[in-house]
Amino acid sequence: MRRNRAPSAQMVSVLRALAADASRWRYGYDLGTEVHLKSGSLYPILVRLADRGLLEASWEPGPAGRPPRHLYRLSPAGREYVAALGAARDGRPVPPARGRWSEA
Amino acid sequence: MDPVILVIVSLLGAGVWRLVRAGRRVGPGAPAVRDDVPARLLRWAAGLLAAERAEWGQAMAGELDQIGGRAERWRFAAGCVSAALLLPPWGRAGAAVAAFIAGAAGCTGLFGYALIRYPGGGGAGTWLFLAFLLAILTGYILAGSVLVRRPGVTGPGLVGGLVVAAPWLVLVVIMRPMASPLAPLLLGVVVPLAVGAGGTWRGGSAAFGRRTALLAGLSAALGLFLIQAGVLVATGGRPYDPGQIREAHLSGTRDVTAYVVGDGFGRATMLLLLIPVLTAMVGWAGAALAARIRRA
Repeated sequence: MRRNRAPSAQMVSVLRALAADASRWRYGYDLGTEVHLKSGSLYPILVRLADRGLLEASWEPGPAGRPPRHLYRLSPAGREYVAALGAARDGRPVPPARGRWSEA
Repeated sequence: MDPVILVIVSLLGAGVWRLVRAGRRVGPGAPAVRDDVPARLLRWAAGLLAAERAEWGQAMAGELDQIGGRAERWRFAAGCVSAALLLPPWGRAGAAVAAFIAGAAGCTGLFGYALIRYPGGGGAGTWLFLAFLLAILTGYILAGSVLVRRPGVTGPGLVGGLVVAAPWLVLVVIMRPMASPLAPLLLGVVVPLAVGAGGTWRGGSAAFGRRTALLAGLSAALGLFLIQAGVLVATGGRPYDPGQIREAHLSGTRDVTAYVVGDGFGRATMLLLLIPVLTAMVGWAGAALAARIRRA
């Protein structure tokens, strides 16, 4: 049976950073710098968010000879989830996220 | 220094040197892309990701390419490597890693049990030996975890392990001393060469064959250690031959059993080092040979 686990503080900080300007695409490195997360913590969080459908990802082609960059922003479900996180602080329950895992 | 340890240290040193030298080289065709050690490490780690996670490896590589400072590149790549090593899904690799951990724990447990059941060793030497054994077994778990995450390697590697273990078991462990002068040729050349070549044939590349050979060597040595340690613990190393009794007395040990058991663990540990090194080295040659024949 899967548990509805509360999101970690690190995940919440990533979600809030993305929610600050939800329509803007963000680079992974910049996001990690902003929330003071090392790549070893940031990428597993991004992967989990993407698996749960809370994150949209896109590729930005690099200049000739350079690798493309991955960009991220909150999906509509992600925006709802962050809004619900704020509501949960006020005493209302957080709805379960869709996607592979139900905990978040 | 023991020649086996010398070979292992030399191989590791050569590997690190190669990595560093390769990192210093700048590709003339693509000056824009940095191909330093962090980039190579990250590429290697990205190869461990499951197929459905491959784009995350590319994402990490894309970010690393934007980072300028050497120290920051190392930090970023190291974090990505740890993430790539641990990111699920592990699939069947998870079971294989669990088997490696269980095998290593079994080896340690049997050694600990032997210390309790056949006291007489003790002293700083025993604890040093235990530390050495734990270091080797930790290396086994790490190397095994990395190898089984490579797609498709687990099955051929474990089958190769059986192929490697069987002749070692018969010719070295059971029929000690070696019954035939051809035994070293079979153990040291024919079998590892066949495993490396077979892996290449199965996986379609020399890299696949190399990984198969190394995993075969690791799994075979771990299995053989468990068998040897189990028999030692169960029998106390009996029956003793006159040579062992003489050696025990010469060593100043009063307890022949403790001496024979300790000696047996020492021999089993040497095989724990020797088998993967030998299988990997000769197996790699077999893999290269098979790849060349396939291309021809």
